Amino acid sequence: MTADDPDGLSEFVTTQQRGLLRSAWLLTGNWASAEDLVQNALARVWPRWSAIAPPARLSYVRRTMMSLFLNEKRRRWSGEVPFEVVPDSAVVADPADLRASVRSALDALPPRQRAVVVLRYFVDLTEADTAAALDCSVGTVKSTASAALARLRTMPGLAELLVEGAA
Amino acid sequence: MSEERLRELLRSTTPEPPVSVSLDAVRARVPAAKARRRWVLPTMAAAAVAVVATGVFAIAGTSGSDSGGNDLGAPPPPGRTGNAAPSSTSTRPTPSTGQTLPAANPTVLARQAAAERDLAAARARWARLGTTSYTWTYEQSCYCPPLTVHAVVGGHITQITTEPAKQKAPFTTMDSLFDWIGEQLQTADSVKAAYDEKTGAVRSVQVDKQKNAADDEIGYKVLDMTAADRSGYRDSGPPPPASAPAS
Repeated sequence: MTADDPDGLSEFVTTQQRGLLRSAWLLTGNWASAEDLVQNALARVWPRWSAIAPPARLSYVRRTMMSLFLNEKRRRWSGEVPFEVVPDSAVVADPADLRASVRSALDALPPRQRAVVVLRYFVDLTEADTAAALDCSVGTVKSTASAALARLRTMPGLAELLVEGAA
Repeated sequence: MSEERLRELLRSTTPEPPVSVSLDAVRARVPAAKARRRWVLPTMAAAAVAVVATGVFAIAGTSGSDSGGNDLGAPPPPGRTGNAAPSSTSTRPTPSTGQTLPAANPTVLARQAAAERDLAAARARWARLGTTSYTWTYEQSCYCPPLTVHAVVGGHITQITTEPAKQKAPFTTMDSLFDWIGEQLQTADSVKAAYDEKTGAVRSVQVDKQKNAADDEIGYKVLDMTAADRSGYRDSGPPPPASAPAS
């Protein structure tokens, strides 16, 4: 915290935005929505920012972000699906294709499974922290993660990549 | 499939962000977020009044003892029609998209302020009593499997039992429930809480997080509360049966 940034929000954004944006990208599938999601989450917590203990701020923002994401998905279907790369490649050869395959696989997951995959396997939260971020029980996290993995295993173009020892 | 392989895959394929978070953009969105609490459509205000009119909570009676014990089951004194403080409701409807918002509705603002005052007053009553060792049981009701939590609080030691077993307890202490209600008053669309008029302890709370979302309502009802210390905890006894909704 500095005189210019008395509540430490600017510093928080500077240090945490990369991780938050990348998580949001995995959730939403495009940068415009990811940016919106992170900014909306920060706008939600800003009025109470000084009341949140600094060590808890990241998890608070992350929890708000997840809540906004799940609420938005529940509230309405988004008919517009922007594609930077058309995910139609059957053979994964380079990082761009690989990325498209991963993204289309995530797109195929239900929102809550997608959120669990992002929190458990990208953000690397524990099951308990994931449960706290999603406001559910640890058992729900375990079963949701298990269902998500089972579903990913069946997806063409991704299943073979997720086998142990695959290049 | 290896979980570790999935971790590697997610990390290696997630690109670096080509965008950055603009504090100005965040700042510009703050008033909109706050506006959800400040603005109301007239019909929604009428609906909120109807909710208030129905507002007596129901709580399960327990032992019925009035012999100086600390249980919730003591019957109400003669002549009383209710033993819990009036429930307080805060409702904040969401404006419709593209609709011009009317001026802030003073009724809703006053109701929200009243709900926050009720919480502060109940909390003060609870703190004044100084009950630090107690046993309490509450049940959660939501669009989820039923959950009942039995907590033994004694200074720093808390023992939690849940039914079904091994579930995560949303709250361990009465203070944490007060904290949660305070958070919900800031964020949820509707919060209806009832407190014991003598001790300030929460009797029940119903929260609707998003007015337009289905199945996101959540409620907690305290079934039993027994003090184990000499704080003089003695609540107002069981509440009356829930009244019929106002027509």
